[in-house]
Amino acid sequence: MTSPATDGPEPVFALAGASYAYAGGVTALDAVTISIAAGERVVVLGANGSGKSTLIKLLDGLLFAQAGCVEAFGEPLTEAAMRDDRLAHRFRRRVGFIFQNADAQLFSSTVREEIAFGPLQLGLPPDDIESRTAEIARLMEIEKLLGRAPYQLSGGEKRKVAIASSLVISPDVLLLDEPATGLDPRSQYWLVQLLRRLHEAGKTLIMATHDLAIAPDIADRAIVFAEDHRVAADAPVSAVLGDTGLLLRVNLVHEHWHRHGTLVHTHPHPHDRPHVHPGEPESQP
Amino acid sequence: MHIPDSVLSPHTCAVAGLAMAPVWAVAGRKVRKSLGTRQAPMLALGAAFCFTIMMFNLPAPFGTTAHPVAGTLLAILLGPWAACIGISVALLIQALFFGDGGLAAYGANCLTMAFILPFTGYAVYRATASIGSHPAAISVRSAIGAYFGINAAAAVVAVLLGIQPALFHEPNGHAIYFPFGLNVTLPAMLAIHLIVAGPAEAIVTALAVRYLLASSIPLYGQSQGPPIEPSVAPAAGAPSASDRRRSTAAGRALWIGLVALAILTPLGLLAKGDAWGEWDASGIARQTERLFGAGRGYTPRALQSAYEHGYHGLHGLEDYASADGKNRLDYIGAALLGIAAICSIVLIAGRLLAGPPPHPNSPPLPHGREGDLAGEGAAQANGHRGGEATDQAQGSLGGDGANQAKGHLASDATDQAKGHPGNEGAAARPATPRLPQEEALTPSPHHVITSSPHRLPAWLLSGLRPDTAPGARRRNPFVERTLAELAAAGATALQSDRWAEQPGLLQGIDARAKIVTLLLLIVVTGLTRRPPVLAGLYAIALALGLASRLPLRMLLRRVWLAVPVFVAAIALPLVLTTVTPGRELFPIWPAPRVGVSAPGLALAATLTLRVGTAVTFALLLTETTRWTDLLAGLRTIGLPRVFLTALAMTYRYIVVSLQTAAEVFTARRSRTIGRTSDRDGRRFIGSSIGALFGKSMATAEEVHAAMLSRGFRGEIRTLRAARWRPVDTAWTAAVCAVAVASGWLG
Repeated sequence: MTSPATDGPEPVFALAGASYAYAGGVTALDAVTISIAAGERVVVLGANGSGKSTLIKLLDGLLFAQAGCVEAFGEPLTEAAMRDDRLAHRFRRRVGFIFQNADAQLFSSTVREEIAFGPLQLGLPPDDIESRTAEIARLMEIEKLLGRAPYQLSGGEKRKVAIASSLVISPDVLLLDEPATGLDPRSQYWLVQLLRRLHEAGKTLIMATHDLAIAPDIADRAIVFAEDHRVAADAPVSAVLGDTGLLLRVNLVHEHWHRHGTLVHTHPHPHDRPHVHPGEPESQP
Repeated sequence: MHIPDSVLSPHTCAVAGLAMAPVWAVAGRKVRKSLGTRQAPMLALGAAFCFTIMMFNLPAPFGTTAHPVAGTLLAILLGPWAACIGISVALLIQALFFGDGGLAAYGANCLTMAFILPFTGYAVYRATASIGSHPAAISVRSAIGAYFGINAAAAVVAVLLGIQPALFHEPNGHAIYFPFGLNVTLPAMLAIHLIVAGPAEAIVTALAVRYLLASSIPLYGQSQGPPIEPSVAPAAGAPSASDRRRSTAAGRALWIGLVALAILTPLGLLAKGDAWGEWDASGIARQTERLFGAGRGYTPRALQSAYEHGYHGLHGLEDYASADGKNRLDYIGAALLGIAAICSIVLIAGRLLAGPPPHPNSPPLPHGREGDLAGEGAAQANGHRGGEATDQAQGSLGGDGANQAKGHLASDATDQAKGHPGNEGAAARPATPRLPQEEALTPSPHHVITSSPHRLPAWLLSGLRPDTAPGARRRNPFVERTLAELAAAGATALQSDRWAEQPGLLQGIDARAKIVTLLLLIVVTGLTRRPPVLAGLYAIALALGLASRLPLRMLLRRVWLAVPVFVAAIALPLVLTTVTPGRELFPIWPAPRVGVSAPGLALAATLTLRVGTAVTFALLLTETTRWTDLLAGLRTIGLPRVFLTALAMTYRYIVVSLQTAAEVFTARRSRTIGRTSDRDGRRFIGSSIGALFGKSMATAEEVHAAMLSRGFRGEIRTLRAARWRPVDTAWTAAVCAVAVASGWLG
């Protein structure tokens, strides 16, 4: 457990042939081999049901690979290891998880208690918890909400509280499942800025999404899941987004049809930039 | 079935609590061993589900209501030991926050609902293993188990209540606690549970079990991958074999249920044999009063009306009740009458609960909910499913057809959302002409839009259908009321930290001190017999509330409106001279002569006051203590960790469960127009229970994952470190002094 060295940053996660199937034999991940280094910004792309969320849960030690192996911070991440209080404690201090469904993540009776939950479980001193809660609330601009019940909040506010309650333990690695879903454009911009600052602070960010438009703003590297639950590509975001064939194959873009006058035609159409008709120069929208 | 405080003697409560102690200890050990952290959310969810399901009040005969417990379901899902913990947790929350079941009587309530019920139900479920282990057979077995379980529990409740007058009475023969003997309690409890709560429990259990099996969730003792029902796999319409199998199995379920009823019915009647025999011809009125009095305490209004109309309401019973009960033939006649009555009620209820007959073209339901409903109810027996269904095509204009179509839509919501577009409409309706703009396009063959496999079905493109117009419907807000209750209760529970955050006398006292002392006060209240002392204790409770800045109105309303329903039910007959002999204050009925007796009135007032005071003390505890502090306090006074983890999570899941219920309700509202009928309401409840369970489970899993992700290891930690201060010692000493004083005063 050394801090990242100057060259060749320590791998945060290393998966080798990791597979997972839900009860009833529904495969979610099939022989996934990836490695993620400290400080990276990785976006996990894939259509609905391709295994993104399962991968994120696997990385957070909530599910455990049934085949292959998963290592976190150089140690195996297994059910047995997580049963060990000391190991689990160390892992939970270093990894934070922001759920897709903010409602599920918020279970305390007030926002203040919600934010304090993680630090309390991890045994931080009470004074420290109080000051951290106040600081994170200021950072998230949710100071006014501290006394409210989470279920009373709006969707955007809930997301902010969820992020605050994970960030408050200052994890090295932040896992986000569909972070931008349900946010209005202003909140989305705010989120992108926050993620950028976290990246600059040296945090490792791993985000699952099917929103191609936001991917280049929040990540450098993209891991693409195909619908057969395998990794279809692992490359820089720009390369992945430029590969229309790949995106079509994994069902992240679709055949787009429209008409010009009476002519109707179809062609593939990624969502992150103005679409281009086959045979037309790219500059012309 | 919830026994409130001060209805049982403290001795009985103590014995029941002592009996439960080893059960809890064993359950705690077993659960820790067998349930990993993975199953912890299931346990808490089960408890939350029990809690929610207990709020689904169903109308019962005589104007009362009854509710299922879902205890057997938990036992089948998690094993009886885990079920015991889960139900205990649900009962604790009910006692703490809703005054449903007493704190001192908690042991007794756990004995019946958390021990007798799941273990009996599970034993019957296991004993009927010969029926088979395919999904249909499992749900049948679970229904039978559930039926026996809840009735066994009801019988034990009846016994606990019924032994009170014999064990604890004043020198003049007046009962100190519960006033009615076994002769009244057994038939009353069993009647309601055999006829209403039992079938409801069976239906709920079977529905949920079917849902679990269909979602490949392993039951207790089952391996990870249970047999997936063949009808689940193919999405397209293939209703033949599996449907037939399902309906024959359902028919068998129905008959087994009826046989069970038939076997149990004489049991209920014979148990009160002596009572029936003791009655004279004129005593029937009094006995019906007693019957109501000992009934379930969920509807004071209905009970009042039963009380007012009791003399005229039950003419049918007089015939055999007034006859010489020692005549065996009368017993058998009564039993047969009972069977006939129950059969017809079950058949009718089954028909009502069965939901609309499925449309011939409708896709097979992936989770078999509707099929289950039809199966559990009597639809097949009445021959409704096949024949009538075909006649009621989607486009029918008749009022009844409209209702059916609507009900179908409502109950099918989840399936449709899951990607089973209702092809019934498309099939039943003549093909609508293609939309004008589509036709205008006339594209080249390669770009034919109409070749898209995802074309919207024609019925979706047409306008308002005449059959959805609101008709004149019976006004009956039964469902609305129940769901409104759910929402209100949820909000109350969520708001409960509101007063705890304020400064005040009790808020400043350590949670542990409060738990111990207020429990002591509840027990003392239960032991006190003299009304002035009780009044003094109640005054103390109110004063404490005021000193803690609790609104007086809230304290009075929560206690005297919501809580003593059960007590009123018991106390009302007490005032009659026929029940409590003594000086008559004024007459009510000329012949047979019935009046209000002075000692009866005093007795009733004492009982009511005692319960009210006990509940007020319980409210003081929960309203002035933060939820997390309360949990931490319970931990330090020795509650096992597994129990508390379940309690903490159940509390959260109740909210999830209530929100889901409210969402299902809203979804239904948005798809129906105008007021819904009682029948639709029942149908809706029946069909939504399975969906409710499945939806809550998905969310609950995620909540648990979120807690684990942030370092939750099963221990509850609080922001404020608990510190025992001099004020806590002073408080404890003061309460002990009050307790000793009231014990000395009587």
